[in-house]
Amino acid sequence: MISLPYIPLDEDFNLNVALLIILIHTLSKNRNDVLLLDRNKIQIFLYLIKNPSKLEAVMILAGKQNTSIDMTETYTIKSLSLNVDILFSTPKIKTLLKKVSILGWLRVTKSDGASYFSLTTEGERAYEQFGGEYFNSVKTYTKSLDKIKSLTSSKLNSILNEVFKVSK
Amino acid sequence: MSMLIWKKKNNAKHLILFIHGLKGGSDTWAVDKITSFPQLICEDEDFCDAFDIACFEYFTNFTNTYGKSRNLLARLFTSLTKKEVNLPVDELSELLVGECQINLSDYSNIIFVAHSMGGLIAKSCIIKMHERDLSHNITGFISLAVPHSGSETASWASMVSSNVQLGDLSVFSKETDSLNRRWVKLPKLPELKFLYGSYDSIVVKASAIPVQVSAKESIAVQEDHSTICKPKDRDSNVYLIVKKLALEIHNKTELISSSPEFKDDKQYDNEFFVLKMIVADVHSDISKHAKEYYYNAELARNIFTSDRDRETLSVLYRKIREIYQTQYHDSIANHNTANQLLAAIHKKIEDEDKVKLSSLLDTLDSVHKKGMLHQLANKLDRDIIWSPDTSLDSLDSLRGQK
Repeated sequence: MISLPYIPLDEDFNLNVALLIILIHTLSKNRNDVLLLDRNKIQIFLYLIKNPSKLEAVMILAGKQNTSIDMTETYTIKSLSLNVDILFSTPKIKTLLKKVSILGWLRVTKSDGASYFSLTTEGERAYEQFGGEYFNSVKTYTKSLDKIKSLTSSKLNSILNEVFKVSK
Repeated sequence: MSMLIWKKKNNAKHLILFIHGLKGGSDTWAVDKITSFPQLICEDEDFCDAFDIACFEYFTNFTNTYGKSRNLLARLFTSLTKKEVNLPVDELSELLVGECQINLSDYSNIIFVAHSMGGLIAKSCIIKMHERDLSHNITGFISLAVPHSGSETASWASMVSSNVQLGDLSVFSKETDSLNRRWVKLPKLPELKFLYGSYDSIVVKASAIPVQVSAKESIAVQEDHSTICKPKDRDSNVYLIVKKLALEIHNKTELISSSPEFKDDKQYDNEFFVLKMIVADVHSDISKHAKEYYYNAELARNIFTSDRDRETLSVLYRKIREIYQTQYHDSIANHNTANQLLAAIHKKIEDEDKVKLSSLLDTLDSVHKKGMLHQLANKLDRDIIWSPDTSLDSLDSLRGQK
């Protein structure tokens, strides 16, 4: 059992559920209502929202005009941390998706053998409840991902690889 | 004799080294007699004296190929001083490697700003330092219209000249090809920026940006081959790119290398680990140091956040708690004071740092581990206390008074 004298906030279950809801709300569809989010992309985007310092680098590499990320997010001790658990841990994402689905907030659509995720009307209503300074900044970061939400997960992965190479 | 011409030398932490190209020299960087690229940086207050500035100078000329007009005997015996000739890129980079080892090894960071052929010399130097396992400090490389795949103009010129440097600069020359192949194999590259002049007809875009370079690292500027290295003022794009990269590298090192200094602004005075020391009447200096350890441990926990790291940390916390318990028993048995107890535990943690408390996280040292002890103490409980008389009520009421 892991026993630490502090609570790793980043790992808080409900906080991660909230981030996931914001992510699905903002990035699930393109302008023509085509569904975009499969599990792999959710993993990548969730990682980026949780690590804004990498988000900036990804946007530059993808050749998209980046939203300027506050210096307090990029020049921090935390930005030196290379915690990529969420990128590789499928069970974590599955648990989060299960939770959102149990709440009745998740819609899954099968298309060409792949599952795409979006929010139900109740889910959208829940999204509206997230306010305050922290969630607003998360919403801004998530919105900035709008420009790369249509990229395939393999393209996103190759960009991330580049980012890790540079930050080594 | 050193091949460095110093433009500013104040024993700063970082160095910007300018490397000129074929048929260049100090005037490569000069707009006129007064203004030059190195000069602009020297006088820029934003660099806050964190950078020394130097130029790497070597002999280069279009025509000189051993002064053919004179016969061999005349050349051998008439001159007592060394006769400089056009050396190939490979040899010039050897000289630069030498300079880096002899004169520049004390810098934390070196940034190469190289124009045209100078870029090939810089590239070759970086490759050689890596391949020979020489520890080096070259952390930035700005390539200004460097013919990474050769230059067509040089190809034409090399047909009529036997200049070795022109040969190296030709399209698909053996030298540029070998450099590109070795470059992609390097395990770790410095921070890179590849600039090309949109009006450059000598080194075209396709050559100034190597194939493997990402969009992030390449930048177009509205210059030609000779003006790209002569920014007129501090607002020109080339100047700003060099400045941005230099300052970024400077900030990064400051962030990583400075063991973050702790400043006691009473920010921890209401935390339980401090209150526990006050209740146990621990000397204020010990408690001051404990705050510093705690601060470092808090920084460390922001870095080691992955599941695996947390497992490792969890094991460490358990071991530190065990060390505490043994020492605490000992202090009760021997009627030691709280000061003696804390001193003994801090010492024990230091002694066990690389033994019992060694972990896969090598960057954690005894300072962090001592801080971890105080993180464990930072709770309203009697799990870790410094005197057997400490009661929860006394802690609670002390916190209320603060």
